[in-house]
Amino acid sequence: MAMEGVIPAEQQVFDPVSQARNYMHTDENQKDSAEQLARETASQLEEKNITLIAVIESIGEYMRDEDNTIRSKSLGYLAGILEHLPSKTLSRQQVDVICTFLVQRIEDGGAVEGLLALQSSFRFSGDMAITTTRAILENLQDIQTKPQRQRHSIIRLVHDLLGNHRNAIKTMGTVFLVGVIDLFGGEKDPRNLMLVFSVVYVVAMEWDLENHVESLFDSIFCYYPITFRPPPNDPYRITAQDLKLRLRQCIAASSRFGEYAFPQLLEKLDSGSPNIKRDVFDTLMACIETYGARVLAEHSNNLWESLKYEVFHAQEEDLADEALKIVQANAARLCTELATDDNGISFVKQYLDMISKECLEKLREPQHKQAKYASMILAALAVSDHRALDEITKAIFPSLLSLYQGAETIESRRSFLECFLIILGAAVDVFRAQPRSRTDHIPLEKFKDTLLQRFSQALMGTAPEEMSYRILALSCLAKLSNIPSILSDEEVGLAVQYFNEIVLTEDADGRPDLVSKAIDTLLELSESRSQILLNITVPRLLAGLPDAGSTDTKRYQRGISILARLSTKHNLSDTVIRRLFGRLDAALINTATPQYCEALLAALAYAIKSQLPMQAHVGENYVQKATDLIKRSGEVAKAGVSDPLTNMGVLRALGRLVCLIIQTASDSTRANFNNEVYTLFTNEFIITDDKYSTVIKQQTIILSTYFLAAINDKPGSPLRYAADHRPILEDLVAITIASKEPGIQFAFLQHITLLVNKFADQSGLLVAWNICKNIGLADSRNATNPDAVKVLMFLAKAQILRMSNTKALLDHLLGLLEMEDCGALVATGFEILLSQDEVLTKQNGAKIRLLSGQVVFTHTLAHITKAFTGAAPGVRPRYLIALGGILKHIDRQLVLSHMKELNPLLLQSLIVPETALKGAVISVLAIAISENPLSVEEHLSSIIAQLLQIAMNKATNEALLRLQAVRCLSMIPGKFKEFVLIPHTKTVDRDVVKVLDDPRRDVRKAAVDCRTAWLALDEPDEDD
Amino acid sequence: MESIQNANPTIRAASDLPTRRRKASFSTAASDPLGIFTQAIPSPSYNFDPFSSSSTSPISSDSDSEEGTEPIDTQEIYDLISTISDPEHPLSLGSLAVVNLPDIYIRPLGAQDLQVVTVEITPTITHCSLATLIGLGIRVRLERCLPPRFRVDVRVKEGTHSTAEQVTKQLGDKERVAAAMENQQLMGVLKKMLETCQ
Repeated sequence: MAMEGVIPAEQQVFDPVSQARNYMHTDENQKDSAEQLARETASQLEEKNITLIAVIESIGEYMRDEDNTIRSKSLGYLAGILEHLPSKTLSRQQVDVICTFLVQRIEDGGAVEGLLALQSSFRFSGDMAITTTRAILENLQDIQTKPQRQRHSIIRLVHDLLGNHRNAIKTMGTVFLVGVIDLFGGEKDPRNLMLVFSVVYVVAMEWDLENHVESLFDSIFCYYPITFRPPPNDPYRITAQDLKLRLRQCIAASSRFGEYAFPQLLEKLDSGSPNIKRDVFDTLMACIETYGARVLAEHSNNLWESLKYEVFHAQEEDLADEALKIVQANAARLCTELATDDNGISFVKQYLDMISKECLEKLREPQHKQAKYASMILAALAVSDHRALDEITKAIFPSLLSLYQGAETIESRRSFLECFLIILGAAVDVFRAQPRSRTDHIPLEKFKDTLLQRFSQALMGTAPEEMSYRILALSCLAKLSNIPSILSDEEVGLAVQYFNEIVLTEDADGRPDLVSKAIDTLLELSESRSQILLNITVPRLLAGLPDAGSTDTKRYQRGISILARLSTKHNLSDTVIRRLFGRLDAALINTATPQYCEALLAALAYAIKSQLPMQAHVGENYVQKATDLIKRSGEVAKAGVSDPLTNMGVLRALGRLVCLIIQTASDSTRANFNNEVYTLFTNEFIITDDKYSTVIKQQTIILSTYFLAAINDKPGSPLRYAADHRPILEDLVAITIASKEPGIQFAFLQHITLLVNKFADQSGLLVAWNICKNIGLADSRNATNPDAVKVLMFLAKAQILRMSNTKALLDHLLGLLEMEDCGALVATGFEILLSQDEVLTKQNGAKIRLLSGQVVFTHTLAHITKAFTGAAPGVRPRYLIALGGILKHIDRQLVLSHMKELNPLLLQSLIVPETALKGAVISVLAIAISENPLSVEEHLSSIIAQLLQIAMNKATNEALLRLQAVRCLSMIPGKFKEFVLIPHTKTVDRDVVKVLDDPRRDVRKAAVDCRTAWLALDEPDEDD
Repeated sequence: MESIQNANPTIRAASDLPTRRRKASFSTAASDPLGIFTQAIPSPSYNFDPFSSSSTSPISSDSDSEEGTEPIDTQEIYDLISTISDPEHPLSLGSLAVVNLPDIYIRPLGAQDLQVVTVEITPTITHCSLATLIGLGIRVRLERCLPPRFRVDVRVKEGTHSTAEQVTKQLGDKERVAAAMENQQLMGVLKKMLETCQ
């Protein structure tokens, strides 16, 4: 040793002999210290402090002992050392020596473990692997007499040797094959079987099986099906699924297993157990995926014979589906290799002909359940490949068509149509997955004329009451039209004309299915045949629209709706939008009815919005159109003439459209609009010229509001008045309070809100705050004026949403509730604070802080909880109404987290006469009951009693409220423990019976459901 | 059921059955083919005004415009019973055409707006032994769902069953019906039949 002098004392005294002795003296319970000793020796070896010879000599005495257990233990020491040695430490010669040494003693315990550690060593050679394997196969055939642990080591050794030295072991050929079959026979332990299956899998894949196929197959198939159930707390965590998967892999490993696997697997299907059937199906699927087509062809007959029974007599739907998938997969596999039999007929054709023939037989009784399965089988086969589709088309369409023609009742025809539909659906899939050129020979072509004719006849020539039949015919026609490259454009055009007629003229009231199916078909066709839609459908729909509107709103509404739906399709969109703008121009020139103009405007907005995901700046295309319309509206306002554009509804619809177009236009276009907010593109300033002298001029505020919603608030925005908000705000407030027309007043209120919320700077906010404080509610004239209160609430809303002065404003408003004159009005107005507004949205650039709702709610609730009991009797309902107004508009989770404080207030609210308040409270209760029943459980008796009162009292509660109350009641069963509810069942039943006689149908229906839900509580559960 | 009595009954498609339900949900259904207006036009919010009592606030919207009375009619009875399940098929009595709209009658009975509902059932086959059970199911359903001023009369339609008279008599016999309701096993079957009611 080279390192004299510096070696630490401890290492100097390392003595292999005493180390070995120490090891030998450990007993069964000292496994850890034994392992520690082996590890120490290994590291000494690794650092070359001792030699291998010294180690071997140290245990020589024990290895020669007569006592088997001592010999085994000494070998275990050696194995432990080998295990802890890095794989490159030993030289080839050393490995060889140890290998020979261990192989000679292979029957002694510990030798196998030693070999297991040794074979992973870097220098373990192929020859050594063969020697070892041979020794195992020759000497350890009594493996089944050994305990599980030892069996595991042996099997593991075979498994690892095969993994690490595959090529060497392959040279052993049949010896190995036969040897392992014998060695593994009778193994039952799941952990060992996992390894056994892996070994057999490799052998089946890579060995030449010669005439041992059957014995190898039997050696694993005897475990099929796996019914293993893992013991609790199994440390190895092997599941039945693991075993099943690995065994399945084995069975599917070699085509040569086919002749044994198919008959035996199919035989297992006779078992009634669905689980075994599922396993068999999965295994068959695995075999079909790996076996060759020729093997499959040999067994296809038997496969079909067994599987058809599973489909036609399925006990469970999913089992039938599984069986179908196998029939289909087999066809698909047969298609991949176009092998033929001796007569030159392809296996696919034989297989498909056999099945088609049988299915056709079933289809002769079209209304029998089995007919449906027959169609499903045919479709499953057809969808597997285009060759399969062609064979099936040829085999069944002639008979199917003549059967259909000969069918006497609509019911049988319907069943045939169902069959056509399923198969044509498969055809669509196949043609889309495997596009085909027109020059291909396509059997379906031969039948297309007849099919087109039959389907058209069924659709258009059947009595309108035969709804389901006609829907089927339409679906068939749709599928046929959707198969790429089968029908010509003219033929599809013909079908489209039928769809047009149905879409436009079919009675859709109560029976929307046919119409909606037709619309869907048109939409689908627009993807592949947009030109036909543009040439036929769009003109037809436009032609149906009146010039001047008409009183028959239904007629044009339908046309416009369908055009709007079509416009969502990218390749129709621009054309449809431009045509609709054209119709709008015509309508305006002809002074059409406002409703008609409104419908057109709404459809345009819908169409443009639908294009946004594809085209962010879609609005830019229509800026000119929008500008023209705005100009026109400004001109008519100035001239004061009667025109559709002076109608408020039309103006609102136009406002929405313009807002959308501006927002989706380019930035420069948007900037342009900033200047025109109050001029509407005329040269005069409309808004303040003559202070809105006429209603028509006042109406321009509607469009201006939408402008304001649409434009940006950028620093240096050229918006007029931006510098100083005081004059315009004060002006607007004055006009709003004076305004008599609700629609116009609302637009003014929205305008003020937008201005303050979106554009006001600090000084502007101060102006708003001052107006709120001084709106003069102390002055009795304004105090009872709802218009003034509205202005106050909208101004407050504008500030609160951006969290400016929130708490001060709320305190101000809550204080007003106690005032004699205005308290009631302010309470009602609380609803305005958080209600949704069409223009004040984030999308329009409004400043809406996330927490604003929460602050309003918690602040108000805290104030009311504190003030309620001390408040004058007249003030209490105002508190409840104010709270109710807020509850309607906040997040339900927020409500649920405050149920404790809310409960007493809610119960009080159910007694006040205000309908709106009660409605809001019932909604809150309904949410609490369904999402957090515990929060109201304490008050359940009162809640039930109050709800019943509302439901029964027709005189004071309107129908919708009664409906809400009954629905809320029916939510209760199932949400609470039974013993909580049982005391109420009698009362509820007694009272709900009275509601069964409610004059309104909806309420009665709700009462029926409610009673059923509560009665179910009383019934004993006899479920097994 | 040990053996299925009629393994292959005629089935009517759901879209061919008369109902008011579909119509009611039509205007609000998302799949409404003509419904773009509800999506394209936001609710007429310029009418939103908590101060006017007749406002269309989100709570008291639609369907409550006129407080008209809608008397219980045959369609309503049909909707109550057509979704009861057949005891031997996973199908509704409506789709099996066991109950049919034209076979339901409502007529007044003397004073105090007493009414009699008569439902005539058509068994799927003329010797169906389950006719009594089906009739009992309909009876139970209607007695639970109609106000007490309605008398329920369930009978087998003439000429559709070999022992029609007998079955009808059994269904009309109050004591026998009451006795049947005490039978736990029978009530279990009935519960299954009524579970699918909509």
